[in-house]
Formats: sequence, structure tokens, C-alpha cells
Amino acid sequence: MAEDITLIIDGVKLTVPEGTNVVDAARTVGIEIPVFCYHPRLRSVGMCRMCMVAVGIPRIDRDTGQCLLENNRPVISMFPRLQTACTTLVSPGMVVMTSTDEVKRAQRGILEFLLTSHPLDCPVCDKGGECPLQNLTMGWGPGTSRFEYHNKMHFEKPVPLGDLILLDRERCILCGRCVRFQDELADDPVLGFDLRGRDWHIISKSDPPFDSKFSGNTTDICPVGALTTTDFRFRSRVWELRSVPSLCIHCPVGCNVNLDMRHREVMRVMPRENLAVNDIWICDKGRFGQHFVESSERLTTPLMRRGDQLVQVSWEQAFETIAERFVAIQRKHGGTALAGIAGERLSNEDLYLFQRLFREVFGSNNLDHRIGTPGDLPDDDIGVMLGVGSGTSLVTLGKGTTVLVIGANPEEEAPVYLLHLHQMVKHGGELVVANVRPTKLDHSATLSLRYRPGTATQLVRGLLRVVLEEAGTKHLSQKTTGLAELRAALNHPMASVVSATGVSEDDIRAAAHTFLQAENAVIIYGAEAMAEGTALSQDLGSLALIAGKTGKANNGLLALLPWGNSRGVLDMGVRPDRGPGYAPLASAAKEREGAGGRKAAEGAVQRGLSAREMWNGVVEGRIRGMYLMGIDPASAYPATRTALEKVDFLVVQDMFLTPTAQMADVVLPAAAFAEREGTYTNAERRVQRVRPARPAPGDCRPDWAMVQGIAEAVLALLKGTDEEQGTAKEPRKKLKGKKREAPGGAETATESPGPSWGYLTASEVASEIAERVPGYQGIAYTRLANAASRGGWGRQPNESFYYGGTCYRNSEGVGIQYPAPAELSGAGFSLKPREVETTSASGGDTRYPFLVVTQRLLYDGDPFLRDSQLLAHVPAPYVAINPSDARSLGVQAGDRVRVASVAGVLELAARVSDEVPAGCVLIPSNLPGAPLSMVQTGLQTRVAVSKVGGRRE
Amino acid sequence: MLREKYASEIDTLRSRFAHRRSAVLPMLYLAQDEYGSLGEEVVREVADVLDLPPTDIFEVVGFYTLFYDRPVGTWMIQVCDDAPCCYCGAEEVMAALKEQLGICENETTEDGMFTIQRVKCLAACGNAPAIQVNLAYLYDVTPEKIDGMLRDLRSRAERGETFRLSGRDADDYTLAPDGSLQRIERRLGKTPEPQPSAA
Ligand code: SF4
Ligand code: SF4
Ligand code: FES
Ligand code: FES
Repeated sequence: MAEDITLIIDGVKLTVPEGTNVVDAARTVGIEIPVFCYHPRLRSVGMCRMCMVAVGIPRIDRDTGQCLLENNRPVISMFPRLQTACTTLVSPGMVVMTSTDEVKRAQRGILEFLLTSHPLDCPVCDKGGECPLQNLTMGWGPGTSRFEYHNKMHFEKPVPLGDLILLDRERCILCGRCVRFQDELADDPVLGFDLRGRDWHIISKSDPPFDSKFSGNTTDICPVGALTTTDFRFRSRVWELRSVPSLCIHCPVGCNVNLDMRHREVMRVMPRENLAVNDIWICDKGRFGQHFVESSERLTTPLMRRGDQLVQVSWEQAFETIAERFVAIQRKHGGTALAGIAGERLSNEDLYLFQRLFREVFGSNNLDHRIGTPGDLPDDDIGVMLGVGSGTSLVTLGKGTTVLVIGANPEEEAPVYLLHLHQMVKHGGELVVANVRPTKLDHSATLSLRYRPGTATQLVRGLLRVVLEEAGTKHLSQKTTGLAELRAALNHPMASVVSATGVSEDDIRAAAHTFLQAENAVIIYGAEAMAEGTALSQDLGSLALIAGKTGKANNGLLALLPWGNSRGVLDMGVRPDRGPGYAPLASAAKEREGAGGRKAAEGAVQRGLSAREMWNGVVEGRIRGMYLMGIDPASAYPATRTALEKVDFLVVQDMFLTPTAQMADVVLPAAAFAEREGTYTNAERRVQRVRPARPAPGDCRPDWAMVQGIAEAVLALLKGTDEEQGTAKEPRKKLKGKKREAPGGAETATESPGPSWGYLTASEVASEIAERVPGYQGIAYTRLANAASRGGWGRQPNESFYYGGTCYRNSEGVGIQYPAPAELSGAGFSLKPREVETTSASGGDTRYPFLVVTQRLLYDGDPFLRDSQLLAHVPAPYVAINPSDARSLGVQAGDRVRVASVAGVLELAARVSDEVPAGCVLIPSNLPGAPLSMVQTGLQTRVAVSKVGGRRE
Repeated sequence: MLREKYASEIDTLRSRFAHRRSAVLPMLYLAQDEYGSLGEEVVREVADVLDLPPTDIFEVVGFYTLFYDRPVGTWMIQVCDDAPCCYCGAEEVMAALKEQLGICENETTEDGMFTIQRVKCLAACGNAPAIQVNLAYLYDVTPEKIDGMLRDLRSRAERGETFRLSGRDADDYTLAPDGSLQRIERRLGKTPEPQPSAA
């Protein structure tokens, strides 16, 4: 542990931990030392000399080793020259003076000097108004300059550093923050300094230039307007902006952002500081990939099919038609003839009401959030049961922590986590990375393991074995069952693990050892791990349990699910087999009865159909009506088109007229995340809130309101036809008294519409979630927004702001993390291993010799990338092949190849890369026009590869 | 191409240092010697050979005037114009060069023989003014000797005796009264020849 050190700054006595520099120490007592090049997230380099201070240390008596005293006070010997406070670490008894005449003279001198070559074009500079150079000049600078104006250094005005970032070399003060950010945190060393002296300037020579998914962050920390984004440049002056707290919903990190609005336009997206989530960073997808909101192709009114055409209709018409058709189907074929799929970037409120509609009004558990492809990943439950403990913050990890990343590529799946992991390693943490192929994280890993495709489970069992050997079950603190079965499954000689996985015994032992010995340990697993089936996540859970790495902060499992609310989807129970809060269906139904509903219909307690089963169900005539919310299966899985055409009645709710929507009977126009209230749950179970930043176009409504519109129309219809009284919608009664009637399934719905819908605001839905969804107790909007004690609770250190960055202060609250079941005493877990259902790379069908390794890309065919400059970064569909396989196939890079499985064929451009294991082909899962689902046969797919017609691209 | 032509030299270089980064300067010398200058493609090739980010290599080439980032004449004459040399007559040396060659700074004579350039301190202030000719050091240069020096360099070029563009084996010279180059004992520390490491 670092010791505390006491020193005196400007006469104020203070105590700070050893290793603190003078700038940070002074800040703790409210003394501001101006800086340009220093940034608390980056190495101190002392490049700009802005932070000069006078420093003295106690004089030591050589004979006694004691401080020399005079009048009972230590004699201080001042350093003969001023010191840079950012590179000076505190020492006991140090005396610092930050505003002597000498210091002021130095500060004025530095500013005068920096301005000698600064163009002073503030009136046309995007940074103007939030520029540290302006601010420090006003605060510390000289009023005039002794240098001649015409003698300034001139450069050609902005040059592109990449296609997203421009560099104005005249404005650059050469602080190196951008370079250090790219080197140290992003680990994309693509920026550097060219030439020297007055010609010194930033260059980027990667191919393509400024090749990094984090480039936008450099514009935040650049203390001048030298770096600007092509996205925001010249669009607005910063003081015209109205900043609205929001979230990025593109990936499971759930970065906090502010939408900077001018009137109804989103001018730019900026990070908002949250030490528990994104620190002060966001990735480029979060920053530049939100233009879909303002797309001119947004739907604006409800549409209904008339013959071949979709025509505009009123909301009443739309809801009535939907109600009539769904009720007709329900009457004739039962509620289980209806099915719904909801996307994973919808809010908890939308999802909660969606499942309520199906379970309570229709009496159907035919709910899913997946597309229904053969490669659909199994739902991840272990990742929540044993999820990272409350209070976990990847941002603060360092010495004493081990993170095991397995089957994951955070750069593509959860970009900002990559920054946190790099920072953790910098601070002395251990990073073990296990993948079938190299990823960028290998550079900073303290140990990299390369296992053969399909053998991750065996590898984890190897780790488990070592952990059990080393520590037995002495760390096992949770109630568990199945230890004997687990031991039996581990009962293979280590040599067999080594030969199967291709990982050496030493490495397996080393990895297990660092994991076990660490004070804290987190396991991060991603898409490639989940594609190995639930056996792997089960064993990862056992590994964490047996090593005692669960149920406390900075310990546990972290699953990288695909989208911004993938965790919320599971929490809300939009799945066929579990109700909200992972409750078994029977108990979920009982809970509803308890809340005032009548006895549940049979359909409400039986497991429903998964998306995959729904498509078959349509073809077989068991499913007659479908409601798709925020999901586009026709694009992502073209095989569903047959079913979409066949289904009797199809409602699609989306922001755009997607290929799926074009096949719908009724299309409902949805408001975007920026146009509504809502909460989203990130990978770490943190529930966070967005606020409306702009009015929704046309008649768009938030998704939850449309679900409610349908529910109410259905209930009114049922009520009307049953000739019951009271058609007027009553305002929703408070749930508190448990007296409220809730319809509980198909037959009760006909009798008991009840006043249980009619939510007026998303907040009311959220309150109901807080009451009814296990885990969400107490997560109400008032607490999320922290309106009562704004700034008190959830306060952030505002470091970015303080140190001259443009990341926003967080005045909004940092979200609420609900506890993982592993933290609650009494929860029991099974260690019993599951059957491994994977095929390995070797062996198998000779007609389909290659195993497909699927790869998730951040910039892929995601429809939310619409209108974004990032579209230029989306690669054309490709398959990557190992050089030796390419040779034997006669394939060269750029050739067109046919990739065929039992299920279908894709034609792709070939890449040749030794990063792909022999016997495997690597295919991104969702590139535009080439969804991998077309060839998938299951979690693991085998394919044949052949060259097409010998053409070269 | 470097990789094929200098395979063993590159291997030796790489094995000599614990970090690939340390091999950057010697690798650049090798490349400059081979190609005459370090254009964009060459720098990328060096980055590729060393498996380092190209930006980092460009930084090094940009920083040192020892590396020529564009094609230069047979003789690259770099005149130090930093303070000590300046006091001892560097500007006069520069003026003489410009006049006799009929070119300005950063230009090459039409016959492709000479390029002249201003550079900062060459760490030879004790023998100011100092200039570097294809990385060889020339000490105590005076304007009067420029004519003879240029003549000597021309005739060396005709005989095919140009100096290598590798700072590793550059020599030191003074100028005789007639301006011709006279090799002297190396004054600056000379880089030891690469020794293959034990491994
Ligand atoms: S571009 Fe900005 S961050 Fe980078 S060195 Fe220049 S002033 Fe610093
Ligand atoms: S890391 Fe994920 S949540 Fe954060 S900005 Fe990027 S895509 Fe959005
Ligand atoms: S030298 Fe300390 S902030 Fe730049
Ligand atoms: S000033 Fe010319 S060599 Fe130092």
C-alpha cells in the first residue's frame, strides 16, 4: 500500500498518497496549477512547462539524518530552478509555492511563447469557448506579446489525419496528449511527431491513416483546436449547444454520453464522465454513429397494407386493426398462435411491456430477442447470476487484479473496455487473454493463450483442475451442488487437455495460478466463447466460484452480449423460458396472480417458442400472428422471408421501413432513443437512463407507448365484445395497494381488462418494473436522476473537465447497479458441468472440411450506422483463410470464393491471413449483404470453400 | 527487398537488441545506404521488416537530419548553422556554397551532384564551422576552401568513390589548404561493428 505523505502547498498542509504528483496534490486542496500536457490518464512527460512551481525540500543533517531545524521549524532548501509540477512527485515535508512572482513570470513566459506561433483564429475555431489555451491565457497569460505578429509559423490549414479527424498544425501546441493517448490507452500507435523545432507537427502513417476506433477522444483531450472531427467541424459554436444526458446503446458497455443539441439537431455526441462505466472516453461508433436518429428515411406515421401498398393511417386505425386481427387469431387458434420478437437496443420499459402484452394479454410465452438463426447464441444466465459484484469498476483496476479474457475481442465487442484493460495493465494488473486467434489485446496481455477452435471448455476445465489442485475448495464460499460431478469431469490427465487445446501445461498452470492468487479477478467472455455453448459459461462460473472470485466488487463474470440492452432484454424476460428477473415461468405467473391477476392460462406457464421455433411454427401453421419490435430478420436472416410472407398477420415496429417492415401488415413508427425517456441495463447490470433530446419526427411514439396502444385496443375490444361496462380509459391506479386487477392470461383477459395499462409516462412503467422485476427493486427514475440531491450522489471527480478536456461533467447520476444473485446470501449454484456440444477443428465431414470461426465487427452491417461517416469503415464481405489452406485451395487474397454449407452458400472475397488457424475460416457475422446466417447450421458450422471462376478482384 | 538482400545482416541486427525498437537506427542506415534516401515506401519497408508501427519510423526519419526523406544529389552537404558554427563563419560557408553551386538550400544541382541543406548542431562545435558530407564530418571549413572541396568531391564521384550513407562507418576529414579532403583519426565515438549476440 502506498504510504501517505504530508507536504505544504501555498501554506496549506495536506496529506496525499505516495506517488501523487504536485498538480494532483494541489488540486485536492483547491489550488489550481495550470497544465497543458499533463493529463491524469496519461504518463507525465513535462513537455509544455506550463505547470512550473517553486519547490523546496527539508534540509537533512548529514550526521544525524534528521531534518535541520531553525526556531523549531525545518530548514527548507529551495531548488534553484522552478520545477514542473506534473513530473514532481510529492515527498515528505516538501514545500511548494504556486504563485510567487518567479512562477507567475514563468507562466506568462510560457503562454507568450506558445502564442508566438498560434494563429489566434478563435473566431473560426471549433474549440473556441471550451479551449484550455483561451482559458489559461485569460487566467495566467500576459496581456501583450513581445513577438512580432508577422513572424508566426504558418502551415497549410487543416490536413486530414484520417477521414474522421483533421489537424490544424498552426494551432497545435505540441503537448503530445493525442500521441500518448493513442500509444498508452488505445494501443493504436498511429500518431507521432514529424521533423523538429518550429516544423514539429503531428503525423499519422498507419494504413489507412489514423486507424483507431478511439480517434474521437483525442479531440476531447487536445487542449487547443488543433484536432477537430469532420463530424462536428464548423457545425456550431459550442455556446449554442444544449447538452442532454444520454447513453450510447450500441454495445454492452453503455457509455454515458451527452447529446449536444442545437434546436432539434444533434450537433455532436460527447462522452460524459462515469468512473463506473466509460471513465471519460467513448469509442468512435458512439461518437460518430448516432446519425440514424436524424435520417430522412425515418418512418413518421403508422402504415397499413392495402393490397401491395403500405398506406398512411391514423393511430386509432392502426391499433384497432391490430387488435381485431390479433384477437381473431387468439380466439381461433389460442394465444399461443401469437409470437413476438424484440430487439436488444430497446429500453427496459419497452421490453417489459412487450412481454406483459404477450404473457398477460395474449397468454403466450412465444417471446424472443434473437433472430432465430441456427447460430443464435444461447441465453447467458451465468453471466448475471455470478456477474461482477456491485461496485465493480473496470476503470479502477490495477495491481492485485487478474482479468481473464476468453473467446472475446473487446475491441470489436465492447471497445471502451479495451481502454480500461490497457489502463489496468499499466497499473500493474495481470491480463490473461485466451483466444483461437490473435487479437489486439495480446499486445498488452501478461499471458496469451492460443487454444484450438472448439476447445475453450477443455481449456477452462484444465484451469479448474489446477485451481482445485492448488487450493481445493477452501475459497468456495457460496452454497453449491454438483462438486462431485465436476471433479469427475476433470478427471483426465493434464496431457490430454494439452493435446486437445494446444496450450502448454506451463501456460495453463500459470494462468490458473495468477487467477487464483489475485486479490480480485474478473472473467470476460465474448461471442466466440458463447458460440461454444453453455457448457463453457457454466465452467467459467465454476472457475470463479471455486477460486472465490464471486460475490464482491471487482470479481465475477462479465459477458459481452451483443447490444446496448442485451442484459435488459434477459432481465425483462423477453425469452420463451423465463419471466422477468429470470423467474421460472410458473412462479412468474403466480406472481402476476398475486398482483391481482386471475388464474393464468395454460399458455402462460408453458415454455414458449424460441425465435427459431417460431419461424418453423409459422411454416407449420402454428403461429399465425407476429409482432416484431426493433428487429429486422428479413435482412439478418433471409431464410425467414418465407415465414414472414406466410404469417397471417405481421406487425413491425421500427424507426425505418426495413425489409421486414416492407412485408408487414401494419408498420408502427418508433421514436429513437434520443427522443424519449427510458432505461438500459449494461453488461455490468448497471441501469442507466436517457432523456429526450429532440422531438420525435412526425407521429413517432416511444416503443412502450405503442405496445400499450395495442394492449389497450385489444382489451377494449375484448371488453366491448363481451358487452361489459365502462369503456372509458381510467387513469392508471397506483400499484402500491396490490389491489389492482391485472389480466392474467387469455381467458382472464376477456373478462378482466382492468385499469392496469394506461401508463402516462415511461417513469410509471419503470416504477412498475422496480416493483415487479426481481433485482430491480428501488430503481426508479427519481433515484436514477438523483433530482433531490443533484451533484451529491454519484458525483464524479470531473477530471476531464478539470484538466482541460471536453468530456462532460456528470451532473446526471451514474446509474444504479443491481446486485448479482451471487452477492445475496443463500443463493445456491450448481457446479455440475454440462455436456460439451461442439465439434472440433479436426475430423468431421470431409465434404465440409472447414470450421467457421465467427467474428463480430464493430463496424458491420448494423443498420444504426446509417448516414454515418463510419460506413466507409465497413469492409466488403470477406472470408479469411489460413495461408496453407489458401495454397491448397489455389486461392489468393482478393479472389472470389464460394463458402458452402449444408444450409446455403455465400460468395465472399478471400483474405489470406496467418491469424486464422489452419482448418478454419474466419467470417464476420454481419457484413452488408452477406449475413453469415445464410450458411450457419448451428453454433458451429462446417463449410466447403472453393474459388469462383478464377477471377481476381 | 531489404529482407531478401540483407537477410543475415537484418537477423544480426534484430538479435543484437532486446527490443526491436533499438534496431531502428541501424536499419534505417542500411536502407538509406541501399536506396540513397528514405522515401515513404522505404520507411514503410523498414517498419515492416522490424514489425513496428510505420508512424514511429517516420518520426525517427523526420527528427534526424542524418536521414534524407527525399532524393538527394550524389553529395549531400549539410552545413551546421547553429550558434557556435555561426560565430565561426558558417553563414559565409553557406554563402560560398550557394554561390558556387548556383542553388539555394534544399536544392540539388542540375547534374545531380550536390544538394545543400542547413542543419542544427552536429556536436562538433570544437571544430566549427563543421559540415557533413554524406554523413562524413568535415571540420574547420572556411569559404576559401569550398571551391577545392567541391572539386575534390566531384572527382571522387567520377572515380566512383562516394561515401556511404550509413552514419555507422562515416569518417572524419579536415580540408587541406587547397580544399581537398584529408582523412583524420576519428574524433567522435565510432559505433562498434555489430557483433552477433551469444544467441
Ligand atoms: S494536436 Fe492537440 S493534443 Fe496533439 S500535440 Fe497538438 S495540441 Fe497536443
Ligand atoms: S464502447 Fe460501446 S457503448 Fe461505448 S461508445 Fe462505443 S459502442 Fe457505445
Ligand atoms: S510540463 Fe507539466 S503540464 Fe506540461
Ligand atoms: S554548432 Fe555547429 S556543430 Fe555545434
